[in-house]
Amino acid sequence: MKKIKIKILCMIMLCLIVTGGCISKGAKIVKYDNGLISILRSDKNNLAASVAVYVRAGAVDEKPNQAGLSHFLEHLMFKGSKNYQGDALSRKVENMGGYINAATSNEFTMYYIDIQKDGVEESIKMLADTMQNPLFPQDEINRERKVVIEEIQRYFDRPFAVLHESFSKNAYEKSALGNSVIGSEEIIAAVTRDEIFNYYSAHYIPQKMTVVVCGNFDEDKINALIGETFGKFEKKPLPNEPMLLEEAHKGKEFVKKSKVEVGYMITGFLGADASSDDIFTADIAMHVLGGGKSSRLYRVLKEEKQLVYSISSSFQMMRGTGYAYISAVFDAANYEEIKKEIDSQIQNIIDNGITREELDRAKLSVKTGWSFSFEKPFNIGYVYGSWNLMGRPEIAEKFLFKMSALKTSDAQEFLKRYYNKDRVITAAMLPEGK
Amino acid sequence: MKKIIFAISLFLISQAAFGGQMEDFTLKNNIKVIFDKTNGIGVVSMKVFTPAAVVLETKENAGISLLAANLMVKSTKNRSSDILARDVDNIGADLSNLVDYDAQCISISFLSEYFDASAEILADVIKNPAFDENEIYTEKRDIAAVLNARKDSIFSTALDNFTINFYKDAPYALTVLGSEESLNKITRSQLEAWHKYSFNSSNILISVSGNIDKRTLKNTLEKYFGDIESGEKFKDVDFNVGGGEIKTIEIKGKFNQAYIMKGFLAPDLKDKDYISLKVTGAVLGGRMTSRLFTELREKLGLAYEVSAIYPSRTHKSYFVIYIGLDKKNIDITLKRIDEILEDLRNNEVDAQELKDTKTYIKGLYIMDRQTVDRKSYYYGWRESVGQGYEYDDKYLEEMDKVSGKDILKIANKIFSKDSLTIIVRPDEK
Repeated sequence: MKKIKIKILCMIMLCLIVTGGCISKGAKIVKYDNGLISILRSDKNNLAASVAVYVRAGAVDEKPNQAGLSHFLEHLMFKGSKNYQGDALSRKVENMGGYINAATSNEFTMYYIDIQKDGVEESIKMLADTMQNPLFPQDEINRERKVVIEEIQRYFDRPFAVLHESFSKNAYEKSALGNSVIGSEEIIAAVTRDEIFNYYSAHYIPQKMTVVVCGNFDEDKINALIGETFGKFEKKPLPNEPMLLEEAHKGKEFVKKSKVEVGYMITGFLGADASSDDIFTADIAMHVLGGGKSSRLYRVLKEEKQLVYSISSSFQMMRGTGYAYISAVFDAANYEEIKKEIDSQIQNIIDNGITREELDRAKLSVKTGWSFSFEKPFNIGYVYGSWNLMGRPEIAEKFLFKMSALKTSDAQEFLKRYYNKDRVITAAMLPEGK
Repeated sequence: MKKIIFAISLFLISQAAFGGQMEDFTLKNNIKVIFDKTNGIGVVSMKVFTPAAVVLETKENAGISLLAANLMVKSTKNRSSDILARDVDNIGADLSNLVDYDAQCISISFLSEYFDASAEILADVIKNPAFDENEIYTEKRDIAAVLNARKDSIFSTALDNFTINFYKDAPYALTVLGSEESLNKITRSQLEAWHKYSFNSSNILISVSGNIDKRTLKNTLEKYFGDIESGEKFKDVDFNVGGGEIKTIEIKGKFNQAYIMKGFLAPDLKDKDYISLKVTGAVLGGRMTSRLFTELREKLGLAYEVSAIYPSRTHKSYFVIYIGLDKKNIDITLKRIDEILEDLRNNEVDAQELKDTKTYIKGLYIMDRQTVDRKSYYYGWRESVGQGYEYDDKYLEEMDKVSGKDILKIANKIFSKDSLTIIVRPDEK
């Protein structure tokens, strides 16, 4: 077994100047012959550790008749494996004082255990067995169907969830990123064990998996253990990759009258995909636009014109085409004016750019958020895990450097390149009868 | 008249259970400072706590604590709202407030290198709120909108109906937002008086957690907070919470789901049974292997969300079991919940389950205290509600003493008497 080890050197310029702490202590990245990647970042200052498995399988990998299957599978993975039958997995984790959970998104599914430092080894063993030998008992499938259908019901009781679904569907006309993560009740009610197992077998393969361990643990021991477990998974053919890129297209507006008390909206436009450095600029541009109390949208729409109760904007990075979006809660009477005002604020940046002060503020905010997220092993792992999924693992340690290199003209350029009034996607929910 | 008291600070240094070094000292004007020194990343969280919060509100001025706190972080006599927002963002800090029933705090978190500037801003916010008439008007309107939007969430709908029926006229009856009627009545002079009472040096304490040097901390706090004047001391109020009846209330919901919230009168945080009930709560809900989750979700597939909450309160609290479900399963679920509680009243939790439950509580308790924000919050909150900040580290030792018999006793005390059940049922078309 030949292993290629990539030791990433600590970048001095990334060191936050603090007493005794450097944020960018390098991680150990190992790529195994079977295609699996592991990322280890130990820090004895932490009280605990976090072990996560990122599987590059999500809603984008589903065919229309599989809508919601990735999420259903995520639930079923906890229903017992060869060496941990029944509820042994969650029981064991909780009895060690740990926390276990999982999450599904468009592009990936993640499973994680947060645990005190003595529980890391067992956590690796458990997650490896879960990934490799799930049992999917038929009676558990039948029971969990009901649970997931209840989760779907609950999901659609939330205004922003409904808006998010229609925004994605309209933003991604051709790309698989328009697929719904929560999926459809009818499909979950009818999907068979064979269909579930086939989907699992196709996508839960070592080439699509990354194991990330952060926090307080013995690096050599854990590295060896991952090699003996995950490193031995059998390599299988890669399934077809879904289409993740979306070309710019005409905008769409979806307005739903509903039994809500106030108005809710998400409006936005397509941006760059993760392979482009435009994603860093996107972050800055959206920060200046609506990222905090000193941002333009907040000052103008909330404070000066009082059109909204709350407003914020950010950029959603994807491996495929990402999107910039603004969400607001408001009085329905102001809906049309809010859309106009958002457009004029973006247009203003396109015409006149942003100030040096705005750029510095945005950069500092990003840097501060970054530092605070490094307090918890889970968050550190998420940074490494998600950049790896984006196909750019090196960014986890170069991010602040990339950010600090941005100029004031970049934000303007980003909006010039990606924003066009006729391509805006809007989803809104307004109270009935208004 | 400003009184300057030269107090000799006593430093009590103890090794906190969660890695940091704990100590406390007092400023010249008697403000207690709790300091948890961390190592590693250069981040700091600083919070000013006061026990004068929602618990002191009446039907007439409900929501005044939150309204005042929201306005405090909005503008000061020295900084208009846009300047305050800009000054905070210029140092990458986060200024926020957290208003709860028995305590509230104004908080700022930042990178260590901006300590002085952050302390100056926080002190300005605490000492010199503007309470501008226009801002009072818009803030009231925004809070009313949040109150309204709560009706768009099934959990909030159930909880708000539960607390108002459970506490009736007591200060815990409403959400911290107050009510539209009470908000409309609050005047600027009431806000100023409320602020003067809540945030004078006789009532506030400062809780700091982070990687900062002690001498710098002490000098800086003295410089910015040392001139806060003393005032009327916080006086707790007495109120009765009803109970004594078994009641079910049905609410028409506009949601796909149905919701059940079943609650019981529960002891306050100074009660000897407080910790026993906390452990009982973990046996019943809150994790994947708890009894409610195992029974109602794993075995019966009745719900996605099912749990139990028992908030720590200085006055009578509630123990609530909540579950989101399909309307056709309401009756069977109510029956199963009763059976689970009955089992807990009749049979002692065995040693293994008790041990496992405690290990779980301990693990999550420690992991919940991994950040400066959470640590400064817990230490400050414990001190503010009268438990003392040291209690936060002692809590786990106390919890270890809880026996199966204690749980049996508290289960019979709590779950056998009065209860209030709220059912949100989808409106049939």
